[in-house]
Amino acid sequence: MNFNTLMDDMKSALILSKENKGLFIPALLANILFVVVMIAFVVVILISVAGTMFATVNDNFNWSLFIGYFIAAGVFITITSLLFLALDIGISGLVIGVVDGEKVSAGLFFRTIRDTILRIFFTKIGFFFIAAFAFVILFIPVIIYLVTVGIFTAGWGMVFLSCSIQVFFGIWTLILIEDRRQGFESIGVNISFGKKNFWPLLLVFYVNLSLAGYLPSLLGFIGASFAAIFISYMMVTYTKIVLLLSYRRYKAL
Amino acid sequence: MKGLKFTKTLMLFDYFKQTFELNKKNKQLYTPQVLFLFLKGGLLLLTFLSFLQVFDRISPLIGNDFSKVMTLLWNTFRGVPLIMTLTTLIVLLFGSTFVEAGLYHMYALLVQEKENHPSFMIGASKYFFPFLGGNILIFLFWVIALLPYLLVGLLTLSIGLFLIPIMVGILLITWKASLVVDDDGLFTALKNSINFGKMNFIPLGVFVVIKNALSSLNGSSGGGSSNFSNSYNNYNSFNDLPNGPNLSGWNNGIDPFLDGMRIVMIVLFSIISVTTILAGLIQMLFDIFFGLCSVVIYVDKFYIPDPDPIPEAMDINEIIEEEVAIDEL
Repeated sequence: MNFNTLMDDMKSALILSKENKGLFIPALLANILFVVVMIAFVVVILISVAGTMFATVNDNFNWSLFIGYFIAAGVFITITSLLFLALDIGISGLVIGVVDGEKVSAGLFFRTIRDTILRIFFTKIGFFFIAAFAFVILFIPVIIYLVTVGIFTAGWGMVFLSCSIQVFFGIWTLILIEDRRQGFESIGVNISFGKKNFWPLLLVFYVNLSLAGYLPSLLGFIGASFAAIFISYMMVTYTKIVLLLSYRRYKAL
Repeated sequence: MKGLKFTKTLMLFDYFKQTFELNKKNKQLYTPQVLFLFLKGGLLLLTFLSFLQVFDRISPLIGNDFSKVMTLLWNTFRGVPLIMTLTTLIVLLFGSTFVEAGLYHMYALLVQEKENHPSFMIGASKYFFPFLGGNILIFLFWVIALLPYLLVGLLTLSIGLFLIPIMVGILLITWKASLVVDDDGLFTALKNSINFGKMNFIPLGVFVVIKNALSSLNGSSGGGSSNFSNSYNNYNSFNDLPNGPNLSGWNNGIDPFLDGMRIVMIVLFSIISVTTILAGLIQMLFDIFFGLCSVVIYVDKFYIPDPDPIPEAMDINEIIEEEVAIDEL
């Protein structure tokens, strides 16, 4: 994979996107989902704040009520994360289907979710523990990096860091669904794929990041706040197509 | 027409490929900018050093009569610092245009494969005044258009605020390319650029969006008219005064507060100077790539060969020959 093949893949991805506009329906769903979640979140916050206020009005601090709200918030966050995870998996499934020549269908979307969500979810939990461990160890080096390279490169250092992390850990769900592998195996494949093609993949994720940030502003301030999620998921979908094409090229070698 | 717009947009990727190849083969494209960047850094450093001298001289007197301090400030300033500041200003304002002119000349020669090692100085001196004129004209245009632009921007719920610079950018993105490729003078170049922009609005629009999004970290507001902000980016380091090592030694008996101020200033300005150079280097990568790409696009002009050439009408003799041949079978 080099710059030329990347450009070819981006061209093919653009053609595929134009011919299968249904690929972007999940992005629209994501936007709607996000708005719903935001509203629900605000409602839950309002209820819990009002509730705690009433609970403490008589100087009898009602602990169980307070804990209840914590649990409610926890459940809320878990459900939301699961929904967005499912959405992401569904998009990956649709992308693989479209590249294989199938048509976009809700069946494909939900089938992929049904087949792989448990595997991916548990891998993510496992990975979370590893990541938390790594976070503790890497905390000081990362802070030093941010303060030195981050400031001295006027922010490019931060962009470089976040895109690099995505190069190594941002493709494994797609690989898992495509190859029907196990969770941690896919993460390993992701890392070797990333090591072999670091700079082109970095460019892919940089394009994803910058366009997802830039395009909403074209719609003005109001448009930006409403459409930002849709546009960012649109870019994610397009990026997944590019990544899949590049990964298949890499596998074929 | 719709199909053509998409096909032309797809051609952008081929242009990117071509630009990347040209970039890789011709590393000498980078030398002028890098040299200029370090020249800028060095000049700003010297300017700040001279300002530091001024600061040193007046700081013991800060507590005293203000007007006296001001006169002393002006007198000290009139010597070396003034020369330094003026030199820096001139170099910054004209230097970036000079570098740009030379670079675009190199792009044109490389893309049209006229020379493998184009000279920087020839292009820089030949095209310096047209480039300068163009930059000034565009700058004036934005100054004059600022109020109407803001008005329209607000009326369209801020959509216009971002779209109008992009639309202007599309029309103007190839004026520099046209200047060095067509070699016909500034006003023809501007006219050609506007026509080219009008004919290939959507593909160039995608190009401008990609260029703006990738070239700046805060793409949203920095994404203004491509050519104005392009030259502005070359000027932006002017506002940051870096610092260098303190050569004049510590003055004894200065207020500890002023000591602290000094240290803060030194630290701040060294960070700013390093940042300017590093960020400038990264910015340079994008500027050279997209500048070269605009020349590539302008030279190729989105050429799509005829899919089904109409067969030429056959000569009557050929038809008779054919019929004779069939009869003989």
